[in-house]
Amino acid sequence: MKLHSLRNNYSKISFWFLSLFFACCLIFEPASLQARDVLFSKGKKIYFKQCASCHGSKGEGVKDRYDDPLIGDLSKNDLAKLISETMPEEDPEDCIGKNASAVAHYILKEFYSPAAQSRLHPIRVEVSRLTVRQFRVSIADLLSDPQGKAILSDQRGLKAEYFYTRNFKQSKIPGRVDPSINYDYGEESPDKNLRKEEFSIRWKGSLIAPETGEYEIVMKTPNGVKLWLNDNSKPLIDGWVASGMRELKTTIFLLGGRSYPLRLDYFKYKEKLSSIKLMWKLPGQAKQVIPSRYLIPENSPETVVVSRKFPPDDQSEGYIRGNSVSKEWLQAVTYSAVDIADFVSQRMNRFVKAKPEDKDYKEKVKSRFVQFVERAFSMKLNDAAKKHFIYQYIDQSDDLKLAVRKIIIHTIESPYFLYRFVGKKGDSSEIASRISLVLWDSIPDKELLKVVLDGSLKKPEVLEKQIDRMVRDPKATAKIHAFMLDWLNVERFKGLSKDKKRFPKFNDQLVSDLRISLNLSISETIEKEKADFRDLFLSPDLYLNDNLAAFYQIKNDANNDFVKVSVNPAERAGIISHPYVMAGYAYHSTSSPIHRGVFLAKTVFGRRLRPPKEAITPLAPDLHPDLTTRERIKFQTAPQACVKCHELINPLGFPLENFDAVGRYQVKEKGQPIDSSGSYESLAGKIVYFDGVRELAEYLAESSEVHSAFVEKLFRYSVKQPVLAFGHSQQMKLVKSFVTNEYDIRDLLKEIAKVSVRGQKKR
Amino acid sequence: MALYENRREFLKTLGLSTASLPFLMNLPSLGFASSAKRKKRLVVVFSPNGVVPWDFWPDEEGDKFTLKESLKPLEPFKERMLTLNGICDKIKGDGDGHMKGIGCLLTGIELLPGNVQGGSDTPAGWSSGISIDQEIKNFLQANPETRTRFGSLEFGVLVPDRADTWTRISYAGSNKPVAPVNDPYEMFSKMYGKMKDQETLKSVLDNLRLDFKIISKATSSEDRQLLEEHAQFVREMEQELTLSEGEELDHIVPELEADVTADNDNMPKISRMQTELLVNSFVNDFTRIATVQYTRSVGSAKMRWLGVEEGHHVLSHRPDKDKDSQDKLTRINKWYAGEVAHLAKKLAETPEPGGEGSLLDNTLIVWTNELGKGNNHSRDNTPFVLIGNGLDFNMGRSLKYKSVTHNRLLLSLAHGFGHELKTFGNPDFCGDGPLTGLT
Repeated sequence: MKLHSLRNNYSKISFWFLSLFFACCLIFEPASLQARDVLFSKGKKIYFKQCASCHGSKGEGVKDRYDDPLIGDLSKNDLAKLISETMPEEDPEDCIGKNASAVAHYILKEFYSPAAQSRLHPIRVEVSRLTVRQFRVSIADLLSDPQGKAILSDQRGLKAEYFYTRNFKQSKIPGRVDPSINYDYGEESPDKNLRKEEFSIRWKGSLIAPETGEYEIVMKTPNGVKLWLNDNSKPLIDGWVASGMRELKTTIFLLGGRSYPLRLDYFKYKEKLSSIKLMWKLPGQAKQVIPSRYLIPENSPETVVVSRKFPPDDQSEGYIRGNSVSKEWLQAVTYSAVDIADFVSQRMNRFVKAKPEDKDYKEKVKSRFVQFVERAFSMKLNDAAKKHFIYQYIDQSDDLKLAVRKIIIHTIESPYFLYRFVGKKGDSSEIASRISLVLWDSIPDKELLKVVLDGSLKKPEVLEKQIDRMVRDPKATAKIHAFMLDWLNVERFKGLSKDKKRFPKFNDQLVSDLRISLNLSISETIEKEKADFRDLFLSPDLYLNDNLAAFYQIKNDANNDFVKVSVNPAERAGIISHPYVMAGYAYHSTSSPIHRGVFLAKTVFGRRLRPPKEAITPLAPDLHPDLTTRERIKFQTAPQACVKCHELINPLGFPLENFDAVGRYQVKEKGQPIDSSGSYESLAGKIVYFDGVRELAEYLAESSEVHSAFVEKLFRYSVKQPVLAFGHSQQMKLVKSFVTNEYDIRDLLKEIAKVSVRGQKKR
Repeated sequence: MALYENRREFLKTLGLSTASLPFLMNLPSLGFASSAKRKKRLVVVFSPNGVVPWDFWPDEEGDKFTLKESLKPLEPFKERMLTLNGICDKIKGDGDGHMKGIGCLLTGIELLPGNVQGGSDTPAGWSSGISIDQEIKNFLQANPETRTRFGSLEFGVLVPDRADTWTRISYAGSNKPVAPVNDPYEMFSKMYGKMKDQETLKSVLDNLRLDFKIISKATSSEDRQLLEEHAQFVREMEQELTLSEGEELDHIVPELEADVTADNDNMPKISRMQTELLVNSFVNDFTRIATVQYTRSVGSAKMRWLGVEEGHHVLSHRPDKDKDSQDKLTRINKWYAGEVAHLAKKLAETPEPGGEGSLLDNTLIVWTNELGKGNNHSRDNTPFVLIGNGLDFNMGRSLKYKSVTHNRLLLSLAHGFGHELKTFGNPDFCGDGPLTGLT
């Protein structure tokens, strides 16, 4: 066997696997026990005799022979089987049966398993900087008026007042709430109490941003309009003077999961026609009328949003974290700091709650900024720190505004603000800063800061109470929502489009509706009193507007707003079979069991697959017109080099075969009934079979591997550190409590927050 | 609320970019590389509500003339000024007199039909064409030799904070009004903000370094690496700021009085602050085109500092025979003339950087108004007073035309910059091309 072909062959076993769960018990065997382990000694002997020359004494690899380290997630039996069949390369017959088992046993314990790896290369809690999201959220919370808290009520739509005159006099239709702003009155008046040629309307309330990003706000009207959004003093769009139909647009950066004050003034005067449409374009999506779901009649406080562009955070380990700095990043921080300095210095009096005429003005400014810095750093400042961060600037200068600018820039640029996991563990300021980061991606709020400053956070019952309170805050919900989108990896669906010939109605508008529908499903699950993880797999509900209902041929109450519809449970199961997700994990014109299988294997089961050594072009469906997708995939992945991964991937993807390229439920493909049977071999070696989405979903909901993977993913997403860094048993404990708490995601996040305040594991 | 949108543009080069001298690169004025040819500049000053004709227009025609009460403050510049009587804004169409007055003044074209209702007449929208200042700006910006950082700057003095036909004189095109910058501090920040920010930033970096020192000590050696890398970037930022520092010396940065609020009574102060900034923008060659808009059409400044308690607009409606009101109106216009004279004086006292003579030798000020007369909303004899030698007109004269359209004057301004348009605004009013007798 040629060397390179053998290497290809061997690489197929290299499943990387992080979720170590089952292996934990093995590595903590005391050394004396190990010494008595006969099999271990036997394996070791054979390894050094037959394997080490190519693989290195610790499986690290040998240059020009086999340089990839031996790390993976195969079970002992699989590993033994593989060694038996392929190793050593000169003569695979040389190490078979019990000998191969012994080698497998040895390398698994010594270095192959993730647990062994973590012993060889200890993982620790690392100092990390705020991620981009954490920076934005922290700034928003640091600067926004803490008094005004948004009330998210169940009512949707905007408060509307209709006036007889063009300048908002003589209110005619009191107490009205309009679902969304999409009216075409033509040449008529909106109401019998109003005239045709002159009237005005004022809509007020708040806009909820479902996701973080740059929104395009678009108004289409031939009449006079002014729109205020998240700034009550300056209109975002001023189109008061009108000459014929036009689209007025602008962009605004919003943080997801928050509500923003909105007011729209509209008037008609002697123009022939009157109509108004208030639309948005979410990041990377089509323009659409802002759905009622995202409008509420209540007012909200303004939020300070940093809109600077940042370079993306590191994601090389599969989760976003703040483990590196760059010049571009520092630049973005600096620009933001200057923006914030501008913002505050322009609103000095409001911010300080005092006027320059006040006799103790300077003192008031000082104490306000002590408060500001203490909040930013979530710690009590001593006199030296007060001087360093605040007083020196104020005392040095006659220009208070300039002094304030300096204080702000210093604070935002300071490592005390930008870094987390720096402080001493057990210190209340460190505890607060960790839990607020884990639960909110933010700095502590006033309430939490209070128990830091008075030192009581060190008491376990106070900590417990704070975490309890914080996990119920909309900021925690926003964080879980962002995690869910990350978990589904919807980022990759950007610009989703399909074969126009086969699916002419699958347009940008439909894709945007799908995204909203998915967001609503996620909200539905995570905003419940008990955010049951199993609903992600089991819920038969879909949110549909008439556009989606028509496309997916699902009956709903005809309505252009989104309503919850329960569909046949055999045909839909949770967000993993949401049409957006199914269409996202599919090819241009056909389904893709491979994409779906990889998603399930990697993300849902937490198994790490290596990409194929060579890039492989998928077989074009029309080259094999008589094959079903399932047959085609089987055919293409039949070669030896593919099998080891694809025997895991394909049978996970097949149960979703009923969903075509656009996520519609189909029972036939090319005139043949669809075969949606599949299977999964668990890490423990048990093979489970399922037919169709429902059976698959039920297995996922109950699988301990899936639970473990979810716990680990949520941990890494929220803490930005690997769970192993907090001790070997933490993951297992978290999974246990997850099960005990009946899979409540919010409870899980709570437990994660508690783990995060522990220190490093012992070395 | 978004963080101060318009800062983006100039903060892009706060001095942290990879180019070592970003400051230099962004300010074409620094090397005076483009000063081979003589620079020409235009300032349009707008004041509202018409004038008192008999207290405004010189009786005589030609180079021997006497300045009336309203124009007395311009006496020192008599040799360098032109009064242009008989120029009429003939644009018709939708909108009331004031709206047409201000909206067609620099555009020479009708307002679009729309939804903004004045006192009587039909409602109207924005102007349907570009204004002459923006037209010339585009002409200058298209040529690398005359291109400047801003191209044009629009100054406002107590222009109300709303966008409608009465509050805009400048248009980038049909239906595209240009808003003046009303707040001198905002204008300052637009012009010099980056530099000030650099100074501020630099002054905190020392202290910031101390933070890194302290925090590094408290962390393990593995963790220290990230913090040290960060601290290194901070040091680089400081070095770049120091590098660009030398370049700033070329700029003469005006000192503005602090905390002047946008109140009616601060109008004289704000006027002077904006003038200061305008002159500075010329010195640094940030722009060659500027407009200065006092209040708005129908503006109601109460000039208490002149002992006038009533609002300007109310006074402007009083009949001719109301002597007291006419006197007050004359005082108001005299005050505006004083502000124009102050601008002219500043320009005359400032040497042309890298060139010959003074700034006024290379600048033309056009002081104008949306109405000829307030109480009849007439746009005949629209005031046009020109000061300075920027466009090489033959100055020091009182000219009297026989009812010529103001489009022709607008054409003359373009031609003065070498931009030889055949028509501007509505071609029907461009008759025989640029005004005769100016040069």
